[in-house]
Amino acid sequence: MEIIEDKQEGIVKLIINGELDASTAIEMDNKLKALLDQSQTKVIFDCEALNYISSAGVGVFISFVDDFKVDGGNFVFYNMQENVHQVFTMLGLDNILSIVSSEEDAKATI
Amino acid sequence: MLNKERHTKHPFIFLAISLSAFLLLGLDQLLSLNYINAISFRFNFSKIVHGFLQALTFAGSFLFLRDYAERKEIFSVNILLRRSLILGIVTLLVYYVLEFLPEIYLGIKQGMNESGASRVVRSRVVPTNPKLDYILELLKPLVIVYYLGASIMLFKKLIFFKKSKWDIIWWNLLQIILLLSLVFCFNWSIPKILYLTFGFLGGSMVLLLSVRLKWIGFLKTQDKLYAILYLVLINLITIMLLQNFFYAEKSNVIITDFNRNIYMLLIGFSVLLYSVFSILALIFNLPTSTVAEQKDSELQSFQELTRIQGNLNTEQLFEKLFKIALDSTKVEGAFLLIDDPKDKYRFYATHQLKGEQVKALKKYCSQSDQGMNKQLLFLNSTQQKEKFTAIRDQYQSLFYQPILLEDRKIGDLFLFKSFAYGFDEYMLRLIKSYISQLMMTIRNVELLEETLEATRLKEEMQIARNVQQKLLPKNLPSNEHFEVSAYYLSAHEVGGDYYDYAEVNDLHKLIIADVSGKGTNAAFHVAEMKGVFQALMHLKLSGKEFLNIANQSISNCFDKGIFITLSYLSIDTANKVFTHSRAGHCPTLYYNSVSDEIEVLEEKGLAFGILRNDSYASHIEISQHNYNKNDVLLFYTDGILEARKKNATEEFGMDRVKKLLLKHKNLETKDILDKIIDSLSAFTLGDMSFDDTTLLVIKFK
Repeated sequence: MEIIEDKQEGIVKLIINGELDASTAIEMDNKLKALLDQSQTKVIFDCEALNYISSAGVGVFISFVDDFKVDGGNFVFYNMQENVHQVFTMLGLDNILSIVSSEEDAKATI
Repeated sequence: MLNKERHTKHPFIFLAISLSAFLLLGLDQLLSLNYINAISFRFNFSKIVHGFLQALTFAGSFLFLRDYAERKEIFSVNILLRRSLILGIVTLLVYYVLEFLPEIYLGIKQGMNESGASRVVRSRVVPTNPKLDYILELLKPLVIVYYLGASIMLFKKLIFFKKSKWDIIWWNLLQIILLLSLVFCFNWSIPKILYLTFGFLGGSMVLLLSVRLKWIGFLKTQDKLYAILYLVLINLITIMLLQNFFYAEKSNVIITDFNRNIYMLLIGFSVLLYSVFSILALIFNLPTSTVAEQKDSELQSFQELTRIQGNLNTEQLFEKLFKIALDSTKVEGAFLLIDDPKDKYRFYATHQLKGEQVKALKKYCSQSDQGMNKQLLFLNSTQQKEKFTAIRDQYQSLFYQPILLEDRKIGDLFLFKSFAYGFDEYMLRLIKSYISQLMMTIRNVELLEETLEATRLKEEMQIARNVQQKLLPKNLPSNEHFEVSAYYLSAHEVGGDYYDYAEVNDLHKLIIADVSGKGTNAAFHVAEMKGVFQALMHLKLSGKEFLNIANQSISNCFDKGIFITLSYLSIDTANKVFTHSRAGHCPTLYYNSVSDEIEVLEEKGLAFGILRNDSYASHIEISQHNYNKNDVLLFYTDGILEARKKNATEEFGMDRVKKLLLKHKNLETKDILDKIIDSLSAFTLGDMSFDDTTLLVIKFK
């Protein structure tokens, strides 16, 4: 997995490439920790190239979302592939996390 | 034939034969001289019988000593030589007692008669007791014959040290020649050429055997010095004994003509020659023996290393390393510091170094970036020595070797000599190879410990597995209303899947759950979960209440980021109704026998562990269904959906599960499970280790 970071207008865009499973979740964990330390709490995730997500991968977002919200920020996911989206809906997370269709929507939501 | 040794088990028979023959000879001699007057009887042996008896005396003594010596195993060369020497001394004493006994006897007699005054007057000219004298004179050659025979047999053990086939052949030939030479006892007029031939052949055998000196190579220096001393003494004693025969009275009752007695000549020659050869070889071997001993001790140190197993006393090993370095190089200064960065090993030793020198070297070792830390340094000249100012003035040669355990440097070894070019390749190679052997030993022991630790862990995991198996219900219901079967397989020793069942007030409650993550962590959470569920299932709670309270209780025990998905089923058999809800878990498959279709029970539902307050209730939906006979419910965890072949991307998926259920809906619950598992393992080619996999099948009656 690869995470590409792009900061603009107080919003951090993270492009996720590849699979987010138990082994790569640590990488995402570190990335989010770093952003939280810098108080960069408005994060949008470009999931177009995210092929697979495991429960541990979902766990990373779950574990941070509250902290980011406390700081006035949020997570917004967009361009999600169908299989990844299914994982989020099955877990009932579509109502907890913001999942939108495009980058514009994501910026607007946040 | 010749390359085998043959011995009897009863050597004393030979002794008896030998002594009887001798006794007969002596008796005959005494009788013939009329010394025993009382008996008017004479054997009157013919010449042939006389010779025969002589031969028997010799042959009997030889065979007796040969077979008698064979019964005693002596492995130590020193003990062997000491015995030879003692034998020689005793023989010498006996011999001189025999020689002077008549005079002593006489002297005592005279002393008694003349009240001690003229005890000094003792001379051979004075006629003594001729009878006694004669008997003693007869005994002397017998003593010599036995002495020489015994010496040869003791030397034979030396000759046969690490014997070869040829040694045995030569020895057997020598035996044959010796025994055959006894025909000369018969005093026939044998042609001189035969006599010489025997002498030559026997001498050759003796020469061949005399160069078998392999035992010398295995002696320590000190033992060699002792061996030389012993052999010189043995040699002197033998010469003393033999010269009596060459220069004294030539004829005797058993050795009629000494100079023509090949047997006596040959065995005397053997004893002398072998001891002389041994002495010479020992002397020539002395200078190299210290080198050989050094090599031997080095070899032993290496061997000790290979014997070490478990309970590693590294301090002792490093001490040994230091000692080897000192011994093999004879250095004038040495310094060994083991300072493992991982703090596992620690050792420190110096040899003839001053305080400030040690301090300087320690400082040098602590500076890691010296550029030469990982390689051997071998300074025989003054180059580079500016680095070692503290020792530069005193020493001219330096040898430095870092001590590496795999890639980790754990210590330094310094050796110094006061003169230039003090080290040679051999010393350095030895130290290097000892160090690498030592490191390998330490590494091996480390690996062994790690393996033991791994084994212990594995055993503990097995215990954990057994404990976890007990968390799952032992018996699943099979009653007049419905039947339940379950399949459970964890990817690791312990897993994060869980199912449970309880019957409370005619309500049958079933749970299937999956904790995110795998292995031990997940297993602990399963245990926590079981406690909460078991407590809540026995309360009168609606499905929604149950899930809401369970979520709060469980979430608070878990770390953020860990969540549980579960499906909850409650069957009311009285009204033939079941309620189903889903907390983020894989949808349950429901085969409806009336419509003959599979419905996917996919209510709205959030996984446990995400929201930790009352608001959770609003994220849950409960569905209610009337069931009929032959309806089937299939619960499962995502392990089955995501199962795939090794290195393949295609997953087993829900469609396959649906099709399987539809195909086998009429089977018993257990058989439905078997069909699904068979199909799954065929799909993954038997690799079921991808994720925890659990299946529950309920069939209504």
